[in-house]
Amino acid sequence: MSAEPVLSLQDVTFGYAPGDTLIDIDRFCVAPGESVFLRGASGTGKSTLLGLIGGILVPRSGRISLCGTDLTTLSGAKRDAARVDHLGIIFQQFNLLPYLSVLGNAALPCRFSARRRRRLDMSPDTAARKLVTALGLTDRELDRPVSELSVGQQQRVAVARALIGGPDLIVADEPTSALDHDNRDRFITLLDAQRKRFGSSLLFVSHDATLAGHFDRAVDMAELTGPEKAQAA
Amino acid sequence: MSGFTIIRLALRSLWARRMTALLTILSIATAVMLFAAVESIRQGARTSFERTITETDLIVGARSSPINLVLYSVFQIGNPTNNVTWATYEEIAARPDVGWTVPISLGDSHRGYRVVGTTDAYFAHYRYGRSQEIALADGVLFDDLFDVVLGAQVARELDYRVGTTLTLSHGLGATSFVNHDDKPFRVTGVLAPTGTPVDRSLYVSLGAIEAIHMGWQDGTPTPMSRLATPERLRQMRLTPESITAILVGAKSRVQTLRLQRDLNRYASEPLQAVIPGVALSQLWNIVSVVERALAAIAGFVVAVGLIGILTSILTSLNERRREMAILRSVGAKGRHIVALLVSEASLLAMIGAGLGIALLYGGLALFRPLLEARFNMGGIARVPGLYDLGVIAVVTGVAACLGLIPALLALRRSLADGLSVRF
Repeated sequence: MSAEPVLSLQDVTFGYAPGDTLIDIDRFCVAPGESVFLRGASGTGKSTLLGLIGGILVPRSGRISLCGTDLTTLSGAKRDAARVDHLGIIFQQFNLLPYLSVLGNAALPCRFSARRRRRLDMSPDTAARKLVTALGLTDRELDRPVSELSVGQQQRVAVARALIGGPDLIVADEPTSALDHDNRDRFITLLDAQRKRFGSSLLFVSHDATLAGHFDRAVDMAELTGPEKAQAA
Repeated sequence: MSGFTIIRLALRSLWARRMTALLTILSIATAVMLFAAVESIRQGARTSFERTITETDLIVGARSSPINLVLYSVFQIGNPTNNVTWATYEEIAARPDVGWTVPISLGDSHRGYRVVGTTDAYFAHYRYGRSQEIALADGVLFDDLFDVVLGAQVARELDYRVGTTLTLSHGLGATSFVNHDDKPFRVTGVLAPTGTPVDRSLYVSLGAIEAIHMGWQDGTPTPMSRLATPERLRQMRLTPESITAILVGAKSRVQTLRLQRDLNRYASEPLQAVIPGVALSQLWNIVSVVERALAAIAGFVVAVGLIGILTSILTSLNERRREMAILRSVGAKGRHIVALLVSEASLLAMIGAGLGIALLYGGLALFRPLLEARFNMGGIARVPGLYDLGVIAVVTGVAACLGLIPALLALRRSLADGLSVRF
């Protein structure tokens, strides 16, 4: 890999209770522009890994770097800032704040990150409008309360929120689990196309191995951490 | 991320839960309204109480206690210990430093309301509230010996009007076995409401008090009294031997203290002279225990309201874990989560307290005519003052502190939840 990785984990261990190690990763990287599929059954520590990457959780040992910044040496507030500066996060479902409009939701990261705001050459609202339109929402849907949108529409607003201001890495945590098969494929294609426009890398976490074909590279959670990693290496 | 954005988020979030938010605001509004009302009415009651009698510099009576003297001469409560002789009254009235005097003679009643024997000077010099004079609502002042003027409450409660005839009873109790029914009185005037004890009194001339006791000895009629028919009495010059108290106005305010000292050392009979304002505030201090109890109760009501805010936020936390995780995912720092919940609590309290104060002053404005007429509460504030702003500030501040509890709880949970949206 020539360029510096967007995300790199080195010798990271983590457990909620002393003596119990849930995460034990020797090395894991995501290169700029790369899309990585991370497969794992539930209970394998996917959400915990997400918490570590997002800087909410702190590893017991090891290094986690986002775009060259070592999260483990930063204070809590600085990790929060690094998260919004570099990451766009998409959850399974119910991604949106019910009391904000579609555009209010999509522009939310710009309210917390000056860096994301600076990367826009227009107002956050205009950028949000462009993004959700590009993601296939009509003007009529823009004016509706977010709770009245379908799950697929909500997820597209969530994608717009993750992409606004072009973060370095999009982390998607089972974003398609609430979608049916057709919508799922369309959603992934759309997500992949849009994130390429921004040059963002993608880390797609799911238990569904059939999705692996959509991505540059697939990694199994069990090979990354836990007892099986020795055989995989 | 500015504080303004957090407050806007908090407002939006509250708006989305407006039903519960509204109920919480209403509970705080009611509590604050009650609290501020107690204070406002307490202040109003105190001012009105201390302005029961104004511009009278001294009240002079037989020596007892200053409070007792004020109670029986102004409030028509309790009994006079002794009388003041007419000679002394004339001597005081003639002093060069005395501007005016009003003699008061007590001891009779009508159906529980006390009868005050006095002169026209009473209506000319008695002032209450902000130098208000006693006005007639109907009719004229007493002229004939058997004329009576009624206080507003007496007329209202007993349904008397000008022209009604009534008889007086001897003594101050509600029922009396010794009546002056051989000498009926005719109502010539009804006074306008003042909100003071004046409303609960009947006024007759000093001569009338003499007349109805003509031929009496030691509080009971002798056979001689039958000879004193109204017709005969009208022919007589009726000068009392003694009166109960004197209201005194000094020529100039600065002489009041010297005059008081002189009268307290009066050689020919034991007198006491009391400055009404001083005695009234002493009297108020006795009842202020009740006032403090009321304030304490109102304070507890506000506390309950604040706990209501805490409860409503705490119960909302569970369903808002997702909201917190989403906010964290888009870069909200721990302090943003804390600020969000603290500002939510403060907003609820501030809006509630503001609404409570607004309701209070709206209500006071609505009921002002009634308060002024019935309770002499003209002193009650018309617009919210510093005290009310202080109440809003304190309630908001306490709510902000209480808001820290759910805020820190949410922060801890959001750390445990990480970036996953759980249910």
